[in-house]
Amino acid sequence: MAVKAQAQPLASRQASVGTLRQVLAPIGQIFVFVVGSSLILGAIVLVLALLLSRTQANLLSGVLTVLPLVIIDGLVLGFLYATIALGYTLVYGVLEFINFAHGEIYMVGAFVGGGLGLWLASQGLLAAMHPLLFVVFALLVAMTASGLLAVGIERFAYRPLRNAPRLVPLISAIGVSLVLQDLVRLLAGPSRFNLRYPQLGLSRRFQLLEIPTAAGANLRVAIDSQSLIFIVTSLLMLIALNYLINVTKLGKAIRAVAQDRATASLMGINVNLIIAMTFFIGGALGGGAGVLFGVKYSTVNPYIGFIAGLKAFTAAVLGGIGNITGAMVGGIVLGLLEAFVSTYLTLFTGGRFSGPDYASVASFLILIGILIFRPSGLLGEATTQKV
Amino acid sequence: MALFEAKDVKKRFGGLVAVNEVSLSVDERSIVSVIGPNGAGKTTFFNIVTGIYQPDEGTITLNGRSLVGLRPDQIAAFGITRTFQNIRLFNNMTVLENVLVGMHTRLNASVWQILLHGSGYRREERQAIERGLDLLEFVNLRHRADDLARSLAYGEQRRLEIGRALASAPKLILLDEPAAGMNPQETEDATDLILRLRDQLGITVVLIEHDMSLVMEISERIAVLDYGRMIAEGTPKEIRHNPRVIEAYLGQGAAGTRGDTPRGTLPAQAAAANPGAPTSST
Amino acid sequence: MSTSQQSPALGSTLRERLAASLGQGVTPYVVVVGYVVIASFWLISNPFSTIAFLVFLSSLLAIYYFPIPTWLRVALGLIVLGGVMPYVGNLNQGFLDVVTQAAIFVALALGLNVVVGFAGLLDLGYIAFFAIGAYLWAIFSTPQAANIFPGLAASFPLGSAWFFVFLILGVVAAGLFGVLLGLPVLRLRGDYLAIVTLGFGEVIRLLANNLNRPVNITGGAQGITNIGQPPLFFQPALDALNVQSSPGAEYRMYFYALALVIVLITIMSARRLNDSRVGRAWTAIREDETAAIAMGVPLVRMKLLAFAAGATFAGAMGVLYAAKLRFISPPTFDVVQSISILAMVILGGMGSIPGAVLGATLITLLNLRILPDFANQLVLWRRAGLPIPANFDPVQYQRLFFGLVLILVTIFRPEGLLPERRRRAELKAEGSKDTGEALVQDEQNMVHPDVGIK
Repeated sequence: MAVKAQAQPLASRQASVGTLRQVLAPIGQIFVFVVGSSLILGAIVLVLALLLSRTQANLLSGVLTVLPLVIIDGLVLGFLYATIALGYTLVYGVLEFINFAHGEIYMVGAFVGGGLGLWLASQGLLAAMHPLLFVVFALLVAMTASGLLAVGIERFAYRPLRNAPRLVPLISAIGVSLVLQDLVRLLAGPSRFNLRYPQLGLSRRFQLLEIPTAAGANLRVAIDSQSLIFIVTSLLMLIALNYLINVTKLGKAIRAVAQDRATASLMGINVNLIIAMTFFIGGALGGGAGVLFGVKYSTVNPYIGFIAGLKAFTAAVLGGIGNITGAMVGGIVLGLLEAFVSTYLTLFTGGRFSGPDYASVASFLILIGILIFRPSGLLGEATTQKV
Repeated sequence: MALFEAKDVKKRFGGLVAVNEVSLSVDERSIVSVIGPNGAGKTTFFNIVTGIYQPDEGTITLNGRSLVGLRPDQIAAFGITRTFQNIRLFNNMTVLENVLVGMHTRLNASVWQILLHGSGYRREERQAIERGLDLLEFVNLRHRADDLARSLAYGEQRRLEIGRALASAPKLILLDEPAAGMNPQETEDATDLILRLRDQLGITVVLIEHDMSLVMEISERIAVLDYGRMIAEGTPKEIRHNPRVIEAYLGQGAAGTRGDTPRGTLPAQAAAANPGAPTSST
Repeated sequence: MSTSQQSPALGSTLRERLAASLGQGVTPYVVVVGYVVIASFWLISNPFSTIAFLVFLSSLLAIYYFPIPTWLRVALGLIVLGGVMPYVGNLNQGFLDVVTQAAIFVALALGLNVVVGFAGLLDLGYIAFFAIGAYLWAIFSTPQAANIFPGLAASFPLGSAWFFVFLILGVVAAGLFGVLLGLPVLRLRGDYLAIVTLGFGEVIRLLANNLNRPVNITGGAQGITNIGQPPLFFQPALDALNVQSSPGAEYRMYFYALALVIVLITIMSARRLNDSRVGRAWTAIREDETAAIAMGVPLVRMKLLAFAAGATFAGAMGVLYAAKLRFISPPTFDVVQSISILAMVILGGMGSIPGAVLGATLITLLNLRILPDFANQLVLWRRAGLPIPANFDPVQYQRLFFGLVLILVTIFRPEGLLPERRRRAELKAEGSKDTGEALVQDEQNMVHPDVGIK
């Protein structure tokens, strides 16, 4: 299974137009899924609310009031899963290997960004910085660190096992994951186990729209700056990744290695280097996601990688593993679903079932459901074996 | 009545019609060859017959019973087994174990019997091993029964595939290029083995082969496929002089680049000029 | 640990080497019997020494690998596990607990080995079946069950005699869940199966964690306490023999014996299945699905069978586990547990029954004995002035060492400690390929170059 890309031979004149289309087309696909998922989930919630409002007064208005918030929360969560999922999907596309330690690479990114923030604050530099500048700076540093970490892990823990049976590197990866968790815990020390990001003063809220309601008071839909930064940055990262994979020479080499390692090496491609680059890119994206998570939720700990990694991997499979846009789509679907279940399950059952506890149950059930009907994931292509 | 009957079988892959209204009727205890240039749909036809692909149209019957819609393992149990063009043995199992896997549908032990290890079960296993060794004797591999399949030489691997296919006691066996890549001596052995399948075991054989001397020597009837269509069917003699076959083999289409029967080697020429020489690869 | 592990080749070749070097005479008998006797006496005289304990346990390896007749193997095994170990258990309860715990994990590893090792299906949610067995007994042997069946409240908790019924029910329930999960998902490709099973494991754990509302079924995050114990049916016999013992010690020995019996049954079942037409079908599926199905192997049914068979082992052990600990809670059944059972299987050698036993024992020992001991040792070293950072409390970093062990073992022994014959061949063949840039992907092409690269 190869990294999916829509590469067509391009006439040189139309190259720029074609490139633009290739790089931006996935954005359209993602937009379709964002709107589609929100509409479907929203419709389900509304129908349920209407059905239940006979017994529970005020339910409908309560449901509607929180709906925009739930969608924004879901999007943030979705883009978090999506960005991490990209790392899984890239590595899987090239090596057909589940990099179990990827969740920890994301966690390390979060710690590097937070550590940098604390250091800058202690030097008095943070106050002088524009918050956005800090975010960009932290992103760059954390992405580099996580990328290099991923390359190092590949070199020492995976490369020696490249020809071993498939499950063996998986165990090595689990080992790496355990080591990283405790290593970060050790380096952070007990006082920094829960690492708090410094206050960035990002308190502005951007009003998106105002919906007039019957009650008179207008319903305001606003998005906080952290969420906005989160969504915009991860979209930018996706566009950059698409450009890299579809247009650049490196991307071509990565696709070639994904398709057929042996032949690629015969064509003069340095396979080891390309695999290392793939790990770097995947790791950097994970590290970036870590910083964004820190900026948005402000507290990180050494164990955040595990569950996030699990969900992200679920997202990658949901979208069709090996498929870049699929990973994003899978993440968003999963994030939205979890946000909806978290809020509305509690609301609808009057607290008898606690929504956040069942959110994961819902995402795994939807995974099983979708795989039964689309065994290759949402955007995956059916692979028929040649006999 | 014919043992095996395929009628108007059609299979599309997207826009490509890989097999287009192919009909083939095979009498019991006969040897029928399917020939044709690379990409003619021969292996696809085998895959349809054995249930790996489902046909889009058409009927396939064995002994009058329809096979369409059955799973490959059901078809194997029903009496059709095959070998593969690119040998697919269970490489890390022994030669005998490969044959025993082929016997799966003929063994009846339930999980409980296996766990309880009763005398009935032990007898069945013992008999299976004996029968497996007999089959290995038949394909001349008994002396290698305990070696891993991957350690066999190429010709031996081809023979083991046939032995494994025989293990389920099939009525019809489909051989996909049984002599591909063999030297003249190996080809002769393969020819001999195929004839013994019919003469000693009474099994009906359908084979895909590019070695025209082999095809002409052993086939009672030959079917020729080109671009998914059956363009001719008849005795070796008829096929050798059929103008459509000659055209197909000389045809204007691009010749297979990955070494298959080169267009331009007529069945007749190949048989006459170069008896026994391998004319094919892959 | 044992001498055998330092030799370059393990598995049946080791047995051949030993046979060759020791000859066919009485030498192997003397060596093995001597080993068992010395190790036993050492442990009995030092019942708190972990090293003596490890040497003693490794005598089982010696019994397994030395070229001695089967009757002697059985006799020595009985002496070690049935005589010396219980005796040591009276001197040091800790070791008996460790061995019982190891036995529980051995059964789990054997079960997972059927799924992953024999049939090649990657199952990352295996612990769920263990949880099903454990919760089944936990719910019905406590008043918890009355919440589910209020009408029958008076009949709960069930009496201790029901334990053996539930041992069977645990097997059945786990097998059923195996089929239920398997039916929809076994058509999926390998890695998809991995994530779906992982999800299933998480769903089961989350349900255990949250099904205390609206009806309290599982006790939620607090878990279930005071789980029923099996009946002491031999108590009259003990009384008649005038044996004085505390119920605690009796139960400890009882669970040890029960766990051993279940392990023996699982080993026997796994072996018989593997040597039958079912086992051959599993290997064939692992090797080449398309060829297997074309040869008449019913793919889905065989996979389901592997799934269900593996699950049953875990179901039985779950019931035993709940009864032994008398307390279960959801964290016992999280993904990390599934993964560590998988690590046991892979460490031992996938598809290898002795491998699964060894892998499970080693990792249990590592977690329960070796790592804590090592941590204590580090503390001693630090007190002695070695430069170990002050905030590094080694007892808290067992995960780190466990992770390191996993990485090192996989890198230096990717085929596992006691690889199965077929797997060993597989690895050797793959190792001979040009690492990194394997130019020739298909062995067939190497055997016969003129067939061309497909």
